[in-house]
Amino acid sequence: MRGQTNLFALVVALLLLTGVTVIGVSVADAALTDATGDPRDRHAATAVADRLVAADAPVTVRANALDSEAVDALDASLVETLAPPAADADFRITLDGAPVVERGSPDNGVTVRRSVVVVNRSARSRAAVDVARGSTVRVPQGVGRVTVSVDPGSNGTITTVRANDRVVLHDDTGLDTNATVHLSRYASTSLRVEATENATGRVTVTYRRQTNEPRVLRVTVDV
Amino acid sequence: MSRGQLSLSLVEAAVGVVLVLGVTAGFAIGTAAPTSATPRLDALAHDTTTVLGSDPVDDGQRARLVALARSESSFTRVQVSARERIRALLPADVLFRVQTPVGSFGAPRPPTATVGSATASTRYGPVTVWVWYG
Repeated sequence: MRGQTNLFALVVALLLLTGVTVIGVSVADAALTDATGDPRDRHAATAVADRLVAADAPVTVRANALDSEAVDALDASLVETLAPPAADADFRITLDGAPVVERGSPDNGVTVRRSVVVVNRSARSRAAVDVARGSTVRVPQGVGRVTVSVDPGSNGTITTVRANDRVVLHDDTGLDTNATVHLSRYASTSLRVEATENATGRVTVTYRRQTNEPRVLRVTVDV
Repeated sequence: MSRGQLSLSLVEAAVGVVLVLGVTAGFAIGTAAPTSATPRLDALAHDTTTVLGSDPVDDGQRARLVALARSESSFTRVQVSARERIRALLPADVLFRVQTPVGSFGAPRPPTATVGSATASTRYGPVTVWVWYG
């Protein structure tokens, strides 16, 4: 009689222990799947987002500022070259919900969000400096780069081009060049030309204005 | 003799269950940490400081971030446009707070939520941005 009670208790104990072990192993298995699958997606998504907004990425003009033309030209193979973890993965890149690049269906993947500005460049603006009158050209704020082309006329020589009194181009024997000049984006700039008396040359300044639009970049990757 | 005494097998089973559950709890708690949102929020905060640091103020000669830290009058002038700019930059469900040497603005920081932060140095002192899921 006593032995049978013990047998019953033993069966209950074994069932209990087996049940708990099964639950424990399934939890451990789920944790392992989580730890191996999800972080790979997350790593790939983070890598793609990081490389896309990096200052030296081919699609940015500076850190977190995407060039709208380069973004239009972005395709899956360029994304792969930028971020090798995304190779052979399904991914989707959107800017404020508008798809930029999509490959496969990464709906089960991990999404990383980054804040960026999209830089739009307008059409080229052109302005000429009247060398004979010694006039100036005013470049508006937000332009970081202008192209200055100096065409010395038949008379006299153009020696110096100054941006807000800073010398950006100079040649004692006379400038004859087509140069890119970097300016401060934070303020408007006056470009002034110094020439010898009676100079008749032509100085043309070309630049493109930029506008910044804030956007949320979403990168979803499913490896 | 046997009355009032728990069966030895059941006591052993209970000890076994506690052991197995202990190991399971290790899995459940140990792997919860890496899925925390801090790295993602840190990235968003870092993006915000980067963009503010390269954004010119509409009328001024310096970046918005620098204008915020420069002086109290400059802070008051730039604050509204900076607030709009940050709101446009961040996803809709993310709230923020900005602290500069001369003042701070944004939503009050929640005491318990996971918060990401980034600090940018300017010549007038550090500017810190905190972001969290609202």
